[in-house]
Parts: sequence; C-alpha cells; structure tokens
Amino acid sequence: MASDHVDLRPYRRIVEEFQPLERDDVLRLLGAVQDAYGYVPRQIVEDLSARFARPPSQLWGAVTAYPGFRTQPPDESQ
Amino acid sequence: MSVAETKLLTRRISSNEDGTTVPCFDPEAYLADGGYAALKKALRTGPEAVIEDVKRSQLTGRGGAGFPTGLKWQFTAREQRGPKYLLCNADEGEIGTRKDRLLLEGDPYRVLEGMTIAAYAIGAEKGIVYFNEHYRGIARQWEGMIAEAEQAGLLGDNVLGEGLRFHVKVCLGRGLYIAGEEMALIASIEGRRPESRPKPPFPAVAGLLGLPTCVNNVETLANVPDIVERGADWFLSFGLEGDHGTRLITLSGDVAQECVREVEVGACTIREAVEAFARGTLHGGPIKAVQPGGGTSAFLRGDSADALIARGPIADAGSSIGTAGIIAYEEGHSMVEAVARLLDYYGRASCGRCAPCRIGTVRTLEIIRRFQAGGAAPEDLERLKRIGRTCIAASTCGLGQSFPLPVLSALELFPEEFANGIASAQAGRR
Repeated sequence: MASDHVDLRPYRRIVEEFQPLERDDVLRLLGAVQDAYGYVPRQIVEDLSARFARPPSQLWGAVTAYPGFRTQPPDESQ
Repeated sequence: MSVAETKLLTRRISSNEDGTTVPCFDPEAYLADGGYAALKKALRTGPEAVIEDVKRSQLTGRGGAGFPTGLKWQFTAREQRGPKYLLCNADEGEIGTRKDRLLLEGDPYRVLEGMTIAAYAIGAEKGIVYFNEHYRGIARQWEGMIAEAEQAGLLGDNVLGEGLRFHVKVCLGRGLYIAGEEMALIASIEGRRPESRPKPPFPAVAGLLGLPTCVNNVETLANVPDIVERGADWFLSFGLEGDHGTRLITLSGDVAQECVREVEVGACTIREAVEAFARGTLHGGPIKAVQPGGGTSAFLRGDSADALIARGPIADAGSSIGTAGIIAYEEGHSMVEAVARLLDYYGRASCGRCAPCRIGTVRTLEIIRRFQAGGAAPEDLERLKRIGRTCIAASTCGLGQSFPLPVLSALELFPEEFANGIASAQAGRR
C-alpha cells in the first residue's frame, strides 16, 4: 500500500512551521499536507488525530468530505 | 434619474482595463489614506461605545441573512468565557455573488481594520479569515499581509502600541459550498465534516471549539471602520428608513457585462442597475425574470425589476435582497432550465446532515429533470411544492430553507413552462 511508503519529512517540516499547534489549526494543517503531498496520507491523519486527541475517524470524515482533498496519491502516469 | 455608484467601501479600489481589481496590500498606502484612524478612535471610546455606534447605524450582515451586526457583537461581547473568536467569512460561494473578492483584493486593510475593531468590541483575541478555495491566490496574499501587519504593529500582542491583542490566521476552504454557512464553517475549521447544526446554542455562546464566536461577512466588516470613524449618523444618512449605507451588487446572468458595483441602498432599481452597469441584457431583450439576492433567492418577474435595490422594496416584490447578487434572466431563457441549473448546484452542495435537505434537493432535481425532458406527471407539480414547503419548514440551515424558493417562485410565476413539461401535454401536441 502507498501509505507504507510515505516520506514523512515534508509533514514534519509542516508541523514544525505550525508550532505551537493550536486546536483551530486542524483544517489548515490538513490543507498544508494536501498541498505538499497532492493527497492526505492515512498515516498522517492518524498522527494528527493523536496530536489533537481526536478520533481518526473524525478527521478522516473531514478529509473525505471535500472535493479539494484526495485520499490517494495522484496518478503519476496522467 | 441618473444612476451612479456611491463609493464608500470601494473608494480606494481601482480596476485594470480588463475590469480586474488592482490588488493593494500596501500598509503604508492604507495608513497614508487615513487607515486605522477608526481603530484609534475605537480604542479611545471603548468597546461598549463601538457596539452602541454599530447598533445605532443599523448595519446588517451582508452575507445574505441580514442579521443586525451590532446585536450579534453584543451577544458575543457579553459572554465571559474566552478566548473568543472573530471569524471573517470570505467563502462567498453563493451563485451570482462575487462582491467580497473585490474588497479582499482591492482594499484588504479595510477588512482587516474592520476585523480588528470587531475583535476589540467583542473581546476576541483570535481571528480567522476563511477563504473560498477559488480565492487561493488572495488567501496567500493575505498571509503575507498578516505577517507584514504584525511587523508594523497593526496585529499581534500590542496593536498600535495600545496593548490590544489580536492574532489573525488564514484558513483555505476545500471546495464545499456548505462551508460558507456559519455553523458548517466553524466545523470545517475544527477539522470536522462541514455540516450545519441546529441553533441554539448560537456561535456567540458556543462557536469555534465551543468558545464564544462571532462570524461576520467580509462586506459587513468593511463597513465598520467608516461607521466607527464618522459615526452612526453619517451612515444613517445613506439609504432608506431602517436599511442604510450601500450594497455591493453583483450583476450576472443574461447581462452584457457581469460586474460588481457599489450603490447606495434604495438609490436605483434592479432594471436601472442592469442598464447602467451591466450594459443591459445579453441580447438586448427584455428582462424576463430576476433573482435579486443570489441563487437561493426567489425569482421575480421582469416587471418587478423596477423594485429599488433595498431590503424592503425587494421583499415587497416577493423575494429577498440576500447577498445582493442580482441574476438576470432574459426573455427566451427557459425557467425550467434555470431551476435545473440551480438545483444541480445546490443538490450537490447539501451536506446531508438533515433529511429534508438531503432528500429534498435530490428529489426536486429528479422531478425538474422530468419536466426538462417533457416526461413529468401532472402530480409532479404538487410534489415539487410539497417537497419545497417541507424543506423550508424542516431544514436545519439556510441552504435547506432557501433552495426551494427559486423552485416555488418559478412554479408560481411561470406555470405554463412547467405545464409544457408534463407528458400528456407533450402527447397532445403530437
């Protein structure tokens, strides 16, 4: 699965930039991840939900609600 | 009667030759033109006086619902818990509405100063501007502006050296119409599904993260600096009794040139605005119908286009001024097509949380499609009305309560067009 091979370095840099993390930053962070990766990796959603003490399902529910978020890497052949 | 703009909110804004707005993110230019005099005055007079002034001005929300701004501020100000939030709704997803964009680009510091005054009045230390995904470029410019404003002491822990704390963040939406509804907007920022919920509790009591929150539209906030600086009486000198100031109108639909213009409340009619600012209808024909307040406002017949652009006259004609997004439909435009196009958009926009809107939007569109295809049953007319009335009565938020308005008004004003879509009518013609 693609999520096994997620390079987490860009994500760590994003989290670094957002310090101190605030509870009103969740969508902003998810947006930064989408913009950096071209999608929102599941692994990152799980890490973010741990950081914000939120159920992963809640964040995943948000991610899957928007047309502007993808849950799979964009197809590079296209 | 000559029709002209009254440039209060837009007085500093200029356009390029192609009609696009000249962006102005320069704090020096804003300060040199009298910017922040209003905030300085507010800091002298105190938050209660600011709220009193805004209440007295009778300023109402420009995002569509038209709630009195001063009252909303008062509700948030009296909450003791904190930190409080001031949210600027820059989502602007309504069909036929793109007025806020003009302010966000053309005079962003006016909006930022309005936000700062609002935050001071209600006691909020945190502000968030929520942008429509299509305004991504503007959102980036705002991020730069906010950093610069912090450097210049216009935001941060000690605004204007007066000890006021106000920090602003930019949040970019991800392409969902419903996120512009205030409860859904709050859920969206929190990283939950952007869904509305029943009120109360109102955001003033339990908003973002459960904290007291005030959500104001861009144009509403842009009105604030002048009201505070020049006083409520100045603002009351514009417009009609009980409905004051100006409105940024967006003219679109079957017009020769789509545009945004600022007009004094009640200074001209819909028809005059279409003629004077949008260079008339697309093909020069008569106006068949108009939606005066964005895509969810009820249709008016062309003869009602002589209503003045103001809350009362448009309500008397049978619609609402909403976002002042005026959508013109020229003679020859099929109203069944027009309604289908609107429902196609609003059907996909429904968040699905409450049943009337979730089911009602989809069923309405299905039925409209039958009329489009000429295969509707006679009972479909009554079905449309029943679904519409149910959604208006039982939906949680403004979307479910208002998407039926164009449907019901089209049925009432143009019954013959729907009658033509009934299968037996088609058969009789053959």
